[in-house]
Amino acid sequence: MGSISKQIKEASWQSNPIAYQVLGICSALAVTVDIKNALIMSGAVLVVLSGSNMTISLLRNLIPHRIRIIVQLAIVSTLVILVDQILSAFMYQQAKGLSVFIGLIITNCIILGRAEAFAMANGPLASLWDAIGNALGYGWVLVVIGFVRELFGSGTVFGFTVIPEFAYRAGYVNNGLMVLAPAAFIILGLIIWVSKELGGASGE
Amino acid sequence: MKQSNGYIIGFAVVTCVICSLLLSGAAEALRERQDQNKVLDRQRNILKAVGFAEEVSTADDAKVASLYQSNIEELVVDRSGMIDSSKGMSSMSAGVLKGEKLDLNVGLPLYKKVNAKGETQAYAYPVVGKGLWGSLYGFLAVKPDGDEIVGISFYKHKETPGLGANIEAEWFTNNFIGKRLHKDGMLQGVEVVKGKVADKTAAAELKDYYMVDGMSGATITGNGVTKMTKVAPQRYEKFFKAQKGGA
Repeated sequence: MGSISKQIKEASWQSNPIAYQVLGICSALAVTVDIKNALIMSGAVLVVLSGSNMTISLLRNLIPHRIRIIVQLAIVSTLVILVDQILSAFMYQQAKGLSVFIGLIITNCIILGRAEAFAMANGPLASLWDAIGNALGYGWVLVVIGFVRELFGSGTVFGFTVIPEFAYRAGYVNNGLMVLAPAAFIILGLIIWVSKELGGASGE
Repeated sequence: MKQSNGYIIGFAVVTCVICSLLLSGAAEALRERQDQNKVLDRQRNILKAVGFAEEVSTADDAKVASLYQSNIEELVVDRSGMIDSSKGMSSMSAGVLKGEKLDLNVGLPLYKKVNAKGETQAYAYPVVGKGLWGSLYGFLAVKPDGDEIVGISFYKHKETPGLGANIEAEWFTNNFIGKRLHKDGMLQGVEVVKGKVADKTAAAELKDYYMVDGMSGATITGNGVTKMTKVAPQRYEKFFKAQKGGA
């Protein structure tokens, strides 16, 4: 179905959760100091978002309207804790590196936003594609920010040093601002600008 | 559609029960693996602190366990500073590895590094400090004189990834090697300066023995480490004094 790829492209490009819906900014600032954290975080969000969108979509006709938010929250937090437990059992070192931010996926607006805006009104398969599209949209922005911040903040990519030693000896200094949260804001602003110019983030 | 209150309450109860069953099931099923990971991670950090950083960085879990078995002896120090080998005590140091709460009235855990000839090369002990977001847990290893630092490692903290979390980074912990805890016989600790040591002081003694480079963007974490190296070794002062007296 061409409509699947269209749906994924639209969710991750035209209505990108970070650049267009401006959701999930918190974690985009917090975990993008290096690429590895950004990648693991994106993976965790992909799993949680797919799970929650599918579950909520399957239950959408059963969930009582008056308590729907709290039910969505219960489902999302269950999934997040599950992911956290599994990571700490099988990827202990990485889970340690991300510390509190995995748990904080619960508060990531993208998850509840997609549940409320999409999964409550659409079937489980469409919701899954929506989740994947949004998670990819979240992921690529995170990885780009992570790449820029890691490169200019620590002189490394994926933990490997890429800025050569002679550059440092010639007086090159890692940019301290890049390691701090404000740098992510600036890069994020640039990403929104560029993707609008290119027709994403609903720049048509 | 309008649902009855009974339906809403019923739905809420069922949701809660299913979610909690799922979570407790997962926690139960994964606990053993997680505990094992914790123990291994702490053993790894003890090894790192006492000078096996290079071996540990490439070692898999089994290798870490065997390195630990053959190089580290778990001891307990009682309140008067003597090594206590009475019944039940030896399990304490092992308990600390599992994350059990430390009962200071019972004793202090200590990890001794012995080489193949049976000579004591270093002692490691757990240290706790305060970071920006929460406590810092680590191991500090010193030479048998209780003064010169062999290494330091951190295994649990809530510091910001990329900033304060750099306390785990090799460039940071390596700076502690060879530093001294005591100055003129008094416990003084090592200062994590803001910025680079070279910009702070010209005094060779301070540079060589009592200061290390800070982490940019993580001044409070650094201050926590400074305080930790000053406070945590206090408990073990008695033990190292007794060791010196006996030798």
